[in-house]
Amino acid sequence: MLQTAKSTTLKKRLEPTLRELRFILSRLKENPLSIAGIAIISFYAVLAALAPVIAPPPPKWRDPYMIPRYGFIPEPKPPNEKLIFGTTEGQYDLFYGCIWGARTAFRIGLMVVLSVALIGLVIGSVSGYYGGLVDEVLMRLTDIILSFPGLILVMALVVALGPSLDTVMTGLILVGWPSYARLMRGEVLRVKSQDFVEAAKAVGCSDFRVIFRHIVPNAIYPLLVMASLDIGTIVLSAAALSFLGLGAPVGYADWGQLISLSRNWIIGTPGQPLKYWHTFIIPGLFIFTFVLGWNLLGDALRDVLDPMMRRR
Amino acid sequence: MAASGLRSYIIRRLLLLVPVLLGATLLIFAVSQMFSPVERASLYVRDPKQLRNIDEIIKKYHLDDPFFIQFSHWLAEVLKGNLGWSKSVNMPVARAIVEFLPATAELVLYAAPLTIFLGIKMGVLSATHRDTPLDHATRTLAIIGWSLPSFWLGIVLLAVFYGVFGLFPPGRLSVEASIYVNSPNFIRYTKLNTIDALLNGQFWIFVDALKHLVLPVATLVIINIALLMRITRSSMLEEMSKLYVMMARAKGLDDKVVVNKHVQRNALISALTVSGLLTASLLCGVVITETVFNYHGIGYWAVHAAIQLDIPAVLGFTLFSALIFVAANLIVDIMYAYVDPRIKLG
Amino acid sequence: MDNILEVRDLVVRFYTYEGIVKAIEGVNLQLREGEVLGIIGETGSGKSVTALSILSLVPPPGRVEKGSVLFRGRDGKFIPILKLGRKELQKIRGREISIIFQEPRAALNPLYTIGDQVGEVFLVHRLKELCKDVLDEINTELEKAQGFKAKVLSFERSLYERMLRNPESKVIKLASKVPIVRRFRNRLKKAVRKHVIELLRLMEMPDPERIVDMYPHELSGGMQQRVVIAMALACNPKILIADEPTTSLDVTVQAQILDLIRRLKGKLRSSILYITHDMGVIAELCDRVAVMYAGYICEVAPVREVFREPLHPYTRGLLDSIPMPGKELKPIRGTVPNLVNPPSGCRFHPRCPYAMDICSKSVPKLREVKKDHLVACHLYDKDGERS
Repeated sequence: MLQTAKSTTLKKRLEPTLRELRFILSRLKENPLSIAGIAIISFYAVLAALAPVIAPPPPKWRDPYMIPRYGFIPEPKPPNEKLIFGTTEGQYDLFYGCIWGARTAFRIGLMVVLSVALIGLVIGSVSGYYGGLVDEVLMRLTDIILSFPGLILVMALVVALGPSLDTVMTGLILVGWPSYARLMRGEVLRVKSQDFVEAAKAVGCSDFRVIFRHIVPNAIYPLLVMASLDIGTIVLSAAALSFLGLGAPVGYADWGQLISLSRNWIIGTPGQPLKYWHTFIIPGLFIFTFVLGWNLLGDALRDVLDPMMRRR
Repeated sequence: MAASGLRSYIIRRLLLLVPVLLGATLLIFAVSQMFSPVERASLYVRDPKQLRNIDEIIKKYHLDDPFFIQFSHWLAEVLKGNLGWSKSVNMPVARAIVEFLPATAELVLYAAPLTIFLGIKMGVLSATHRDTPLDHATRTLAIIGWSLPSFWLGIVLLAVFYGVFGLFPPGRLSVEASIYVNSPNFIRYTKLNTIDALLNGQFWIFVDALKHLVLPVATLVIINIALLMRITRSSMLEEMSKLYVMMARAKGLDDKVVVNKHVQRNALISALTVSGLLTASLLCGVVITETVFNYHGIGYWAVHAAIQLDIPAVLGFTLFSALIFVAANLIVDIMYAYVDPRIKLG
Repeated sequence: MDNILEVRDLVVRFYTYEGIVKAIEGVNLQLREGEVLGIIGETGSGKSVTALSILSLVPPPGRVEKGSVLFRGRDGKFIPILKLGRKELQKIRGREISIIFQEPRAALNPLYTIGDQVGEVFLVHRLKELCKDVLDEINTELEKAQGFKAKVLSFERSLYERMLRNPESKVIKLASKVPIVRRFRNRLKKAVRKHVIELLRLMEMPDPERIVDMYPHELSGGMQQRVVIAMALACNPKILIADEPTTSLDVTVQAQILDLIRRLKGKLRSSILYITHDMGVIAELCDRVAVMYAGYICEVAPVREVFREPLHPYTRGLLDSIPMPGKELKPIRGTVPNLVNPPSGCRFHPRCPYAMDICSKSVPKLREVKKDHLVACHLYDKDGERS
């Protein structure tokens, strides 16, 4: 008897959330920009998922993320029948690099944003809920981290930890969580004073329950908006660091790294200024459209969630 | 009465600055702790020859001692102006900052006002013509600008305007101009090429410097316009839905007057906060843009230092940019208080 | 008594995310010259939207779908407000018809002083009068002035004469921007300030000279509301619309403001449209009252009539539900309807104790059932007899 009672209440409890999700989805469907964004993201998701099929690594290749080379001479070769996008400096297969670069981009974007959002959520909730010394200490910490321009602090951390893609992600996470924590804390403070929280406490719910069952679901929307808009920024930052030579190693399937390889060839030869256009235009377009897709989605999501949040 | 309120606010904010800066230096120091004492030695010396007596240095600056003792020694050095030795450019870090800063300052001098002006204008237009084609066009342009990798935009602009058209070269000055500028005939007033050229009456150098500035400035502006436009637009839309706007209309005021007088002023307050963010964005943008265009400013120096693992340079640069950022936020807060009577008198 | 304002078959809808909100469906109202007409209803009844429509201030996503608002202008002819162009509308707002809102703190711009905001009304609507005052002042000074001072004065005079003739003149606009020249406006500012202080004194505000330079957040709620009322009455409008002006104020302040409005009404001879949800205020202040429910007018009658013999079941419910010591609490059962999918026919029928079949099928029309007493209810359909 108790079991069935629990399961029905679970469905009932989820119902308003489901209704809201359905509402959000329907509003998103109406917005052409969000559809474009979702289309772009889906396209890249498929690309990333099917990378081993579309651009198979050579047999007995150890790390699929390292781009195969077809020679060692520096001068990039233009697109031809065998290598669809041609090669970049050092004869790395550009097509392979761009396709597997989609995987890298997803990896970086999703991992960093999910980590940052989770850390920020926990710290912000604890800080906002308990207040007092804990709050002070945590907020001073965020203040200190936020007093640095983001990319520059990440750069310092990457240099300290040794440049690599992993340290870039670590750096982005360490520098990124304060904004989320701040946001979450603000929302928790706002929700905390509402009556239903008092009610939950009066009934005897433990702190953990009050925070994560009652407060967080109501406070989480601004975080979602921030996260969706952040994925693009994170990918751009990581690409920038790889471009500067502080991220992915040479020959890694990372779009920023590929563009870094094109630096000596931008001007081309006298008389043929855009001779090596493929080395930077193509990977750049990949980054641009990928980030554009996420930004379109994030913008549309924000347009939908903003009035909803306001009505609360 | 108003002035004293403002003054006490400024004093309060300045006092708050101290713990923040202290915390920032602490963070930098913590990062530096990830390196071995030998590597860290160059944080303390002004002359590379001193590094030969590594053990002496380690003892002198207590590089083996517990955290806070080291920190106090390091902080003392920093406050004396000693940020260590930058091996990538062969000069003390502090001097490197002073040397490279004017170039970056010149870049920001042109990029910042343009960004702010265009960004706010676009935001206002977008908000007052909501849901019209103009609004959609500006918003689309803003999203595109926001999604472009800054380094890629720089590269593309370079390839097209320099590679194809040969119009705007990378670097700061052409060879002839550099020679002239470094000769004794040219007096350095500000170390900003454009201004110095005008002050020296050498118009051709002014044009030359300007030509080299066009692309990097354009890159910075295009990337950052989106941020300002978006904030201006949304804060204006928010203000326009407030009751005092309806009240102004109900008094018989013309719509244009309502927007210009009432809405804009309130909205600009949020645009002011964004200016603080803009500083951070410009600082980061400068790092990348200067690298792409071979423009020898502090961003260029920082990247080269980073690649060569020149630790004092990287840490010095990071600390310096934090200082600039915090100072910019302080200025924004003060201007905020100046403009909003609720803070001035409250 | 003539009607100074007539609202005919007004239909206003809001196109929102959740659907089309049918806020007002066919409202008919007449405001007679010199009277205080109260509009009473719960939240969501459409009373505020009605008020906003009168000045064509309905914000998007709202839209006036049908109907007209007719205002009897100074020449006695009716002006169709909803059809007016921007400039004509601006001449009516704040001058012939004014409105005050519920939240005085929100109605005032936090960045400008009280004097600035009240002065705006004078500058927009009574500029010519002010110019004449200033010109008189200049002329008196010119009689005694000599040399350079006289030249400056005659320059100022020429500017003000131009302003008198054409307030929109480009020369004036330019002169108002040029650094030293724009000082000529100081006389105007002084004149406006004088009028503002006088007005604030009329509003029974203590120490108006100090308040003029203060910012809205420095004043209490009651003071802020007086400022808003001052702005509304600055030009002696023929109609004052008051949208729940005391709801957000303390009870004692409420009483003061009501008192003020009553006294001002006597002095200024405006007609007042007073919107509230408080029956007590209606009883104290109004001559007639219109009862609104879910976008419709249910009943219109003189106040005494409505209290003595409420005809519409909703009105009856409202009066019954007023808590009184010793009496049992008697709320109207049910809840206010969803205006996206309102009930068919008479919107009150789901909650009405007297509902009949016809009530869910057709919307009852507002009909004069007794002398000066209108009801919209099927109970009174056959010549005023109850069925």
